[in-house]
Amino acid sequence: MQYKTETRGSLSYNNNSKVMNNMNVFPSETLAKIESMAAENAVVIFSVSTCCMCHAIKRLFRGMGVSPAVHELDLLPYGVEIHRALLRLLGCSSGGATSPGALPVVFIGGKMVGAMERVMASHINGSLVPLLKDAGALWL
Amino acid sequence: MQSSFKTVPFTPDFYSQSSYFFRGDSCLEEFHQPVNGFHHEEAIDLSPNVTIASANLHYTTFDTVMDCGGGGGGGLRERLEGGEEECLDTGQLVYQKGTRLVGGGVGEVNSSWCDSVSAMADNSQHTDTSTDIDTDDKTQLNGGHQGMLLATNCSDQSNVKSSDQRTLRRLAQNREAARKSRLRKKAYVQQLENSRIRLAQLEEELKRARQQGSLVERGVSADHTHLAAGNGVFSFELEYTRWKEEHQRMINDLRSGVNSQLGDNDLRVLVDAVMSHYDEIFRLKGIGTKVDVFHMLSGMWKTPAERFFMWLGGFRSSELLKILGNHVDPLTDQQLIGICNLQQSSQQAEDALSQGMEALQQSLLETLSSASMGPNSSANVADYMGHMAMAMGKLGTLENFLRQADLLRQQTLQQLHRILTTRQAARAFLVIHDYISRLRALSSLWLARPRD
Repeated sequence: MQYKTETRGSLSYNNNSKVMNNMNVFPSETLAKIESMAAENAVVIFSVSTCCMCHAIKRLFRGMGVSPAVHELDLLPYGVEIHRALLRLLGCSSGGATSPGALPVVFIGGKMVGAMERVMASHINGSLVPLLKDAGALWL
Repeated sequence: MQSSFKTVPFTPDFYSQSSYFFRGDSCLEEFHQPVNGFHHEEAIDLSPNVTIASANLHYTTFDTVMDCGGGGGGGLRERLEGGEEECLDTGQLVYQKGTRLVGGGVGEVNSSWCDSVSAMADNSQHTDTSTDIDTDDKTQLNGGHQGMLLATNCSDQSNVKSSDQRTLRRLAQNREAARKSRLRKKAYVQQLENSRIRLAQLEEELKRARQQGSLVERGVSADHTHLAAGNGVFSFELEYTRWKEEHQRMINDLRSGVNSQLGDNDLRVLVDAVMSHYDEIFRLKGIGTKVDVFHMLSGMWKTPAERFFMWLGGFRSSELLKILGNHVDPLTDQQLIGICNLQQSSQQAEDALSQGMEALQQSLLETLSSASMGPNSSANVADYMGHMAMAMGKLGTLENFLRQADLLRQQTLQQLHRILTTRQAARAFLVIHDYISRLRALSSLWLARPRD
């Protein structure tokens, strides 16, 4: 529960104030692109096609009966920019090299949940399933 | 293990023999104490005096004495033969017999290689004397016996003759026994010699391994990360041992708290302490994973049976919940649903991580095999190096997988703690601990099983 509110809070913080102040770091079109991509489906995963943890999280959702929309950033034209922006959103200021766990990043109902450990933690503490139901990704 | 099983039953036998020896002669009781092991001479020297002083009546008594003495010798032989199969055993056995160390003997001799070997060396002396005395005793006994016979029935020639024949027969038997005994002694000495050589070999191997170890350490001393990895693994094992001891202590407290119907508030303190102590092992494992992910993945710090159930460097959360089963009932419907959901979600998370690991192996395999192999493998060094770098990058993901698996375990324990009441959580921790203790006991039993 605490994870969910925390991430939502940090995301809105990033969207509203920080982004406005750092236009050069966060080009608004990249953020807008992420937002529109995240809204495409109840569950959206930003992934890298060769990443094994991304593979694991896709299997996790499919195992739960959810079919997420997957954006493979290494296969997209603006993938690198999106990746960088996602890392900023997650709060990984040091970049991808020192935190290999940054991707995959999961959005549910257009809102960012976080990377693998956030998703798994909310699944174990029972908050993921209600979230998926609210977003219309799960019916039962 | 084996030697202690073997030696224990012999001791009473040995005692019964010596008590037989002095049966019916209360005046000799005082000699019972100083007579040690198989040093029969003293007893034998005394016996004729006693017999001569007494009447014929003692003749029969002495016959029994002799037979028993012979039987005892036989017993010794059996023991020696039994012992010769394993010379470590013999060492301990003879040590016990020679000096009558009954209880502590095995443990002391077992304490280290060097000890047992020195004990063996000492005891070879013991064996020598005891077997020799054994045969000498018989002769002396015969002599005494014969003299006694003459004293009682000196007028009867035929009796003397038959006694002569008996004596001759017994002397022949003695010679035969002595010959066998010498052969056994030879075999035993040979066995000792073999073990001495084996020990020397082992010592040599150990020395070489030590040298190699120090060479490796010196070789990589420039490479600090390697050295740190070695130290890190070592310090993790140390920390883990310390953690295990602390955990045991906490579990003991918890157990006595549950048994003594401690109040909920006091019990909560104990349960929370165990819970945060679990957090500590996950923190330690996190450090260990950073230092040497393969070591953590191998589970070499756990017992074999624990390793058998290991999944990504630890227990499977879903399995833990299965173990709890009906040990924490009665559960409310809500709790039951919570546990079921937890079991399902931990299972799903485990499956996902397992599939991720499979993907990792698969892609590593593809990366390594895609670089040109075979006859012209040396053709493109750059290609080779590129693929190796890629493979290294993939291996780096391993650390992440291990971290996720530990997070899953930690989260499961925390959620379990949230679902259960304090008393139920206390019982759950005890059940988990008992289960792991059984796994460890099983490992010990398995490792100590007799192997032929």
